[in-house]
Amino acid sequence: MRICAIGALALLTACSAARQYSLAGNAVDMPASDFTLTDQDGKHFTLSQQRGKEVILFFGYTHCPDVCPTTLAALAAALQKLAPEQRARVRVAFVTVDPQRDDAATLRRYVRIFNPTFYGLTGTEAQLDPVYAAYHAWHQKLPGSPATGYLVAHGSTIYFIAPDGRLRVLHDWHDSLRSLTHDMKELTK
Amino acid sequence: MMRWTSIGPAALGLLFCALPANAGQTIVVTGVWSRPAIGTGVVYAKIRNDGSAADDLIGVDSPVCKTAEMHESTASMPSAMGSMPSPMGSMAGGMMMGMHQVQAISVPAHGSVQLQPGGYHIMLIGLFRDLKPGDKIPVSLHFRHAGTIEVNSNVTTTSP
Repeated sequence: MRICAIGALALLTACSAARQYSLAGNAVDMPASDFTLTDQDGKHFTLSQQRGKEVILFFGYTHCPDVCPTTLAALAAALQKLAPEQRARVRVAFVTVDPQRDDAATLRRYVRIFNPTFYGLTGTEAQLDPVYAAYHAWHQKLPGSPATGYLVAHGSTIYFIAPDGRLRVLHDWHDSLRSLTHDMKELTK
Repeated sequence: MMRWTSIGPAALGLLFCALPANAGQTIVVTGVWSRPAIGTGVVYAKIRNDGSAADDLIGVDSPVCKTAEMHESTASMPSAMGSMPSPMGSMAGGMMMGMHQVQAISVPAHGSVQLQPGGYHIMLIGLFRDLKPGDKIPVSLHFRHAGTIEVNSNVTTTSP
């Protein structure tokens, strides 16, 4: 009886300490590693300053014809399914794995074709490398043709960070629009 | 001289054998679409072969870009995955998505091939202008046997 009571108390404490979400993707619960990068307008973007907003990160490059546009289009479509007040609490940020070719102006043109509110983040290697490491954002240059120049293979996880700054769910780039929309909504509740 | 006369009819026979594959429209391209893009674009489509012989897509071009190539996206396990434990779990970082150029995309006889996200796709390199939703862009698909097929690709944000 006493064990039950203690158990229930522990559960209550846990519930009040951390928000419970019902998630479609791979649920995780850990602090999202903080960073400061440069956004598409040349301004600082600091993750910890986005508290109160849900932040969705994806790592890719603007020369990518297939995976990155598919992912950003899916996130844009999911965002459109949210009520306007929920939508205003979501920040989608595309972090380049190709800073050599993706400057702020290029990222601005690129992310804006999907949604005018999307962020495109870049930085120096010294700024970006710790971010890649913290999020396990694998990437590797691959030889391309003379026309394409080099290609970049890259990780395909979409990271959903809750308004309290905790990384709460991971999705894969080709997860369904329904599951992306579900979790995007869930974290803004 | 003797040799030529004996080879001639055989060659002529081969030519006639090849003709049915060329005659009529055996290759049908449907559902052609592109995503909005700057610099580098994409074309997806379904290619159906109603003929009794396999055919190959061997080249693509479009007036909207400098060069077009055929590519295939592939997923691989990053070498670091597994050796680097992560509190995010085993899927942290996800599969490594890469791609490589292909010289031809085979379309089997009485079969079809789908160019789609995560698989075969046409890459438009060096776009002369941004591709915006609602645009229609002309694309020429060159087949080994069926010759050139002209299509229009619809630029759209959502896959049809």
